[in-house]
Amino acid sequence: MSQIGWITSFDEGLAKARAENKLVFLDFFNPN
Amino acid sequence: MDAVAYTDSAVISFITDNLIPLRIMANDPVLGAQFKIKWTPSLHVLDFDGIEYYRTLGFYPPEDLIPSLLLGMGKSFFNRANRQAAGSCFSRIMTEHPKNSLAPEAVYLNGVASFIENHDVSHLIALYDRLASDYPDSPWLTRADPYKLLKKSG
Repeated sequence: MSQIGWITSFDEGLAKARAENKLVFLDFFNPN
Repeated sequence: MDAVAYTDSAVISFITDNLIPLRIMANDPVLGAQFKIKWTPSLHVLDFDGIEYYRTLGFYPPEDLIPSLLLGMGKSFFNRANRQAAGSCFSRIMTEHPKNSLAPEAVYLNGVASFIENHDVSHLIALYDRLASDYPDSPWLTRADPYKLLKKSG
């Protein structure tokens, strides 16, 4: 595993968390 | 975070194995406002309903990010009444990151989680003793101070 597989859709992230029964790590970032 | 923590192999493995990594721009007009984001990086642990249980702010080096995420996971499980999973997270901080600044809080919460499970006050006494012996300067020892009164005299 060479990098973190970030999801960038909030709804998609929650759906994946529900499907895998995991918690979500949410990073709000500043792209600048 | 991108240059240091998120490229660290241990961090990548930890996040991949334990969490769903979700990244949103802070200026997102909906989510930035919903989560009241005022500064970055702003790091959160949520459940799959989007309920936030943990938030922290600022740069984390790799060696501090993992225990912070463990604490966030532990608090999430704790508040979702999954004390066994919570205790597992807190115990990992205690055993794998005992010198981390979050370790005393993990000791406290681990003892409380165990107490809630079976109402055995020995867990509260043990957490006080652990904090007193290993983290005597921590404010978490002060928060545990009443538990020393649970010890039986004589």
